[in-house]
Amino acid sequence: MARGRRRTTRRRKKNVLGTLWGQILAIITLIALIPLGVSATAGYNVRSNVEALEGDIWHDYNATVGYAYELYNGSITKVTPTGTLYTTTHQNSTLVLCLDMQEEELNDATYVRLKFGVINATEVKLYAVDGSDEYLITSADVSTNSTVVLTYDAIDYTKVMDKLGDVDYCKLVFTPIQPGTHNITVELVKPEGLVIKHTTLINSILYAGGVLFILIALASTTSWDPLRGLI
Amino acid sequence: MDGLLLMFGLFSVVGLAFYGLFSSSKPNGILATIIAGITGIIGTVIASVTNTLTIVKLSMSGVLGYGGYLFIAGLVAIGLVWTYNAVWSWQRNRPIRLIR
Repeated sequence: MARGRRRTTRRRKKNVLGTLWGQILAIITLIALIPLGVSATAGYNVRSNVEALEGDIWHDYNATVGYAYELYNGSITKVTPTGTLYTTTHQNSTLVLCLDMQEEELNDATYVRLKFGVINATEVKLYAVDGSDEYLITSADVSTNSTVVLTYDAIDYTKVMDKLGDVDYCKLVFTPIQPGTHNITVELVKPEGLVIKHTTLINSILYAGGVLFILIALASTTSWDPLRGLI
Repeated sequence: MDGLLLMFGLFSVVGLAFYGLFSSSKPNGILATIIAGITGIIGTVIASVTNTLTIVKLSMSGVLGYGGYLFIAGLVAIGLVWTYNAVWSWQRNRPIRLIR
């Protein structure tokens, strides 16, 4: 009796659940885990204990001005230091010191330590410069007889490279600086202990993220599902 | 600009895929476009705020080396799967249940 026999068709079913959870996992990874991982590793090199680096730290801005100059109403005046003493002549002007720091030094977490004697300024900013473009890396307050270390993490470094693409030199900008002689000791320093390049820190997360994304993509197909046990 | 488009495209497609998967009636083209645009913008903004967009841009420009290229390869793989899912769910036109 064929009466009542129901015809059934078998359709090949896609693993919708796995696909959907794969997408959800990928979204969480993309908008939460990757940024968290990057932030967590990016600060590895930022340590308060630092040691001084050897070698010349100055970058000649140009043959006429040298590495230090005073900026006032758009005009540049060369400042020739005597040891650690820099003399400026205008009120509310800007003192600029050019540092021999390119992208390699920034990637190696080379920081700037400033030891102040008598100084009449409010703030110092560290800029990366590429041609006529510049990008503010970090800043600090200035006070007499104090020491500051200008540091930055791997995310700051990636932002610099994103904005400039290349770094010719870095510069310290003291504002607003008053007429007089200012005692500023500038040192290039590095964090004590093992220093890992900023790009390596970021890359470690990118490798992990890239592999995870590819695994999720593969897991979201019906042919191969290596993450099945996880979800 | 390429990084911006990649992130916008990724999140637009996932919006489309989810809309196709969860819509109980025949998918509406205008509504799908709106949803894709909204998810694309929201995803891009989140990526920008969390520095992911900067990392994507640098990866695409080669600044971050092989790790960056692998990251982009992973994003492209996910994007392809999401696109496939969007097309698949749109064609099947049926709602799903998260737990079954």
